[in-house]
Amino acid sequence: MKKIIAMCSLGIITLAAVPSALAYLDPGSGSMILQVLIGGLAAMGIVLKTQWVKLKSFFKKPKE
Amino acid sequence: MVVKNIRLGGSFRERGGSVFSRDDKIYRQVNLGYKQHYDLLMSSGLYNSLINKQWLIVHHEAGLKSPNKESYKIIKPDRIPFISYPYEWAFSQLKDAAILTLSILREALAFGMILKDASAYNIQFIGAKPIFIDTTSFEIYPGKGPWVGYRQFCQHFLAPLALMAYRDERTSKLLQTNIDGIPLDLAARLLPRQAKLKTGLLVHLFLHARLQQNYADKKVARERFAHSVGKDQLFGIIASLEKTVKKLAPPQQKTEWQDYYRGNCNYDDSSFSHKKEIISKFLQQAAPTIVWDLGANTGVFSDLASKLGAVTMAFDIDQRSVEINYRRLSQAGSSLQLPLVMDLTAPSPAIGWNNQERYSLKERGPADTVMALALIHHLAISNNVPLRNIAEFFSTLGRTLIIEFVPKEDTQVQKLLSSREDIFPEYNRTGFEEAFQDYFKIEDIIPVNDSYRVLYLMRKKKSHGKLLFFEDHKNAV
Repeated sequence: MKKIIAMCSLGIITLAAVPSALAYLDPGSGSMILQVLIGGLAAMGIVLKTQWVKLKSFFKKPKE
Repeated sequence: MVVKNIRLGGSFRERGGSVFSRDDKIYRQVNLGYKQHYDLLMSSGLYNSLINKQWLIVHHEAGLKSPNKESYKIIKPDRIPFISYPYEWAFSQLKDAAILTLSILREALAFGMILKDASAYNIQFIGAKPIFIDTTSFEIYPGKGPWVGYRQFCQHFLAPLALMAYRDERTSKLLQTNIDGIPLDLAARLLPRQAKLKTGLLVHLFLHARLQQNYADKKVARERFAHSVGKDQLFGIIASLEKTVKKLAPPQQKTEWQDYYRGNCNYDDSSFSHKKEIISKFLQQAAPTIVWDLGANTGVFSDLASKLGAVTMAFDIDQRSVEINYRRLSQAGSSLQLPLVMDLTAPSPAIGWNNQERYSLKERGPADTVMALALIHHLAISNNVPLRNIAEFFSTLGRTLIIEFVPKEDTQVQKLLSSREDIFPEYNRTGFEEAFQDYFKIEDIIPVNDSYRVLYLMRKKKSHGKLLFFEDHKNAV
């Protein structure tokens, strides 16, 4: 019984952490999973792009 | 006198607030449940930043008494001159709206907030400039978690843009029959294989559609994802979406309309400028605030109205002409003229829940002045509409009418009649004037120099009943 109560309260805490009271849209499971799958790569893309821009400006001749 | 609050169509789904009109003014109610989100929007600097960039509609807190116990505040946003919908936009209008949505999302994240949806209906146009109108779309971002609006963004923006770019611009009309955007599995079926060669489309459309199908009947706990996507990942996804959208370009398809004025008309240069003079004169006589130019092509004559300071809607059936006009106005920074795609033989209907979410064209009127230049032969002959019905329709759209009669001697009409039997014995100046005088008083008639065409300025007769005001069709709160 204690276990059940503990699990229920954990569930309530987890749900409370997600601000869903106003969320009228169903985000869709597939759409959420896709964001998890591509998020890392996409973030890496930004890092690489920033580094690339820095590298390019390093080799670029400074304007006089 | 009892002041009635009239709740407006599309805002009932939201829990954060709703839109209503009172005394012909538009207000937005912010609900108590949205209080902390609204307060952060205003106090964090996000609102000011978005206003400075002219990305979000300006609002003022109205000192109105709360109409119900859910209400936290009543705000009064600046009025949008004309509400338009994504299925009336040309390619670049939808594309600019998509980029604006992503820019606002990025800005919101920088201030610790996020957009809770990505509806294309949250964007409106003031002239040729897109602006975000849903002040209650911003929500506190807990620091982690995926974007709830991702699916909607792909359906409302990415799918129709990809279809327009890879198939045909006319596919934007699918947004009229799919009010929550084009289902991704439908877009994936309609797109050609070569679209898969673009990484962005492969991921955000094709893979997205596949995952949606795979997980459609599976139970997945939402909270599992709450911590799997961080802010950096979200910025990455936004950058990827933006790159995908920016790379899409409208197909270079040529239509019969886009070069309409080039060697295709019944005017030489002098009669063309005479026509412009007459229209300017009529516009000055009518002195309108709002003008609807029906069959505006690339906006040559709409310009005459907007130059006089009138808010002008340049409607045309041809996507390409509207696209050309939008890009021209966008570059010029026009805030008065809005080009829109509209098929007058089947104007935008009222759609959505209870037929009240998105208004029909008529419900968004009436205009002060309607212009119908070089249009009547297309309606009367190509579309077989009797002249009296055309007069009746125009009389519901505006108070004054500037109309051009194009007789059978004109080569454009001869072209239309060349492949069909002439079953229009009443299609002549006398028949035209008789039909229109049932609904309008003719105030001025001027023939265009060196052509068979004649321009009329008409005023709607009062005896033909009231115009169709949209208030009749809305729910009282």
